[in-house]
Amino acid sequence: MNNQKYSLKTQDAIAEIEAPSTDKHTELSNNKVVSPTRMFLERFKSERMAIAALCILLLFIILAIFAPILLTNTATSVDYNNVLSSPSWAHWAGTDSYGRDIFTRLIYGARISLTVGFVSVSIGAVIGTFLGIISGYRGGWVDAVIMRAADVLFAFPSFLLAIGIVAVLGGGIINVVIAIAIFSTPTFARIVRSTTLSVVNSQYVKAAKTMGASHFRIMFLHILPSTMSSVIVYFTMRVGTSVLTAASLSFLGLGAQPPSPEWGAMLAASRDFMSIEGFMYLTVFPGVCIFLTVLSCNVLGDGLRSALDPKN
Amino acid sequence: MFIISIIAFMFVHLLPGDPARMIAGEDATAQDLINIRHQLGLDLPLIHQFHNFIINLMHFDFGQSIIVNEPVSELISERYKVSITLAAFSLWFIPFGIILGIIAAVFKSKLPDRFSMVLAVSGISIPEFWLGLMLIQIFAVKLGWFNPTGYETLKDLVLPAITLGTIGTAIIARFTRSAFLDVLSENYIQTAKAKGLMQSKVIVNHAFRNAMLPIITVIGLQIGFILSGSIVVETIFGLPALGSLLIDSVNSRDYPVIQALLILYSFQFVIINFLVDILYTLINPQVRMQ
Repeated sequence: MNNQKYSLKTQDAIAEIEAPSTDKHTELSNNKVVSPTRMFLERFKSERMAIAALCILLLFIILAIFAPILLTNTATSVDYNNVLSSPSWAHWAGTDSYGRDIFTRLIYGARISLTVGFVSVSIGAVIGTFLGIISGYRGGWVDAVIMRAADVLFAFPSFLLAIGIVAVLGGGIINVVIAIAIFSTPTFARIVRSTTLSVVNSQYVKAAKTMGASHFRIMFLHILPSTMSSVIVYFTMRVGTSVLTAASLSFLGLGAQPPSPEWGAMLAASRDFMSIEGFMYLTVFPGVCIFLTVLSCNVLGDGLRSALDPKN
Repeated sequence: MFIISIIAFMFVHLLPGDPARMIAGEDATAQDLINIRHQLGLDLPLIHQFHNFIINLMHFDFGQSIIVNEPVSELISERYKVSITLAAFSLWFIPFGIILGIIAAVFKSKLPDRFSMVLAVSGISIPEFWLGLMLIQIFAVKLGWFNPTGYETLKDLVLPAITLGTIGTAIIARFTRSAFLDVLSENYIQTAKAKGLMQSKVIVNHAFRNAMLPIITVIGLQIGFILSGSIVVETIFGLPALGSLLIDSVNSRDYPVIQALLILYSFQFVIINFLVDILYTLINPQVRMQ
């Protein structure tokens, strides 16, 4: 048994010496061709922190989706007999100044925050990827126009840009989504453009051209897949950032408005009781939710990056 | 910078809501509104307004605040001092982040590395307004070491500065770590070690300067972000600074003030990036050659 293992290893080693630049899609391992997805899963399994982060995110998502089934009261149901009660068995995270159960509100808040995060970044990612591929593939004036537009957006600090956009469009959660989508777009465009530039002269793209594939087909069937790994990594991290931005805007009163159980808005409401001792729980729980969501996104993004990176 | 000015101008004029109506109040006559618009120059064609705007900008004249009835430049300069002091206080993150990063790189995959990277990842993910609120509740309300809000003495800037510097520390620690790991695997470091130099000497004399390049870019970006991140922090701590002024004027649609602040913030950002480029050439002769 030992012997066999040894011989397999040496075979691998020999194979590596003979073909030092093995193609990333057909890496030799146990003399079998392993699909890229399989390789990715194998690598991802060793990223324990990332898996923990994924579990936390999934838990949040499941709770958010099934909130109406799991919880007895709604985010706005009021109980004036239980105003500002500390965490207890009946109210796991206590109640706020209207007697609303904070735990319930946090779960409903997850719905808002996660939706805002995913939707806004998805919009930015789709538009940005599209622009990035066109920019990298066509070059010339198209590239110049798109990249200069991106430069202009980069000239503003992103949070300031968000405040500016919300100021133009008015407050409210939908406008926050639009604002985040707008300032996520240029980064995706840049990332995708640079990957596109690195593959646009590669053999397989040339082969596709020679075979008479249309520009559209080359861009979206041949180039797009190779840009996906960096887009996925950046997407994951960006969701975290946008949850944070949305919460900040709501906290400043520019995003979700008070009765809504948005995490940032809940923190803003907790400021009224900030200078009185004993109401710390009002602040702690919404913050922990934001923190855990953003942390999980960042850790998951890191894990995905090292699992997708062919250099490792 | 010209483009930034145009965008700031556009932003403000796209804002819904009529400032003239806000000044005049609920029961103003149509004639009052026309008078006020004329007084503010809001009845001129847009291109004309833009021309005036650029001319005034050259003279650092941002016009009058619509709400407070004070020149915008005065309103801003009062508060700018507070913002700058706070930003300066928040620079503690630079040395702290670099030291954390170096420790992590030197003790790679050992306990100090794990510890500082956990700190770094948490630091990036922590919402700064939440951190601020928690610091207020613990150190100001519970322990009574600081005033919860307001600004009288420099001591009142301690908690805001901690809040503001945390993200910067985390990001710089991460970048320093990876920059150092890259440099430490270079041949000249191996040579220095092989010569028998002490580890501290290798790090200070050989690795530091070469690892600094990418770190400086990040520091520049972070200073830019501190200037915009301060918007939230200043609001939490109730500091009479630029950020809280911006939020107030967005809520009250104070056109000239928003305009001036957007321009000011973006100029700061551009200027810092420019300074970083200059520093770059000072540190790395290779860049100068090109």
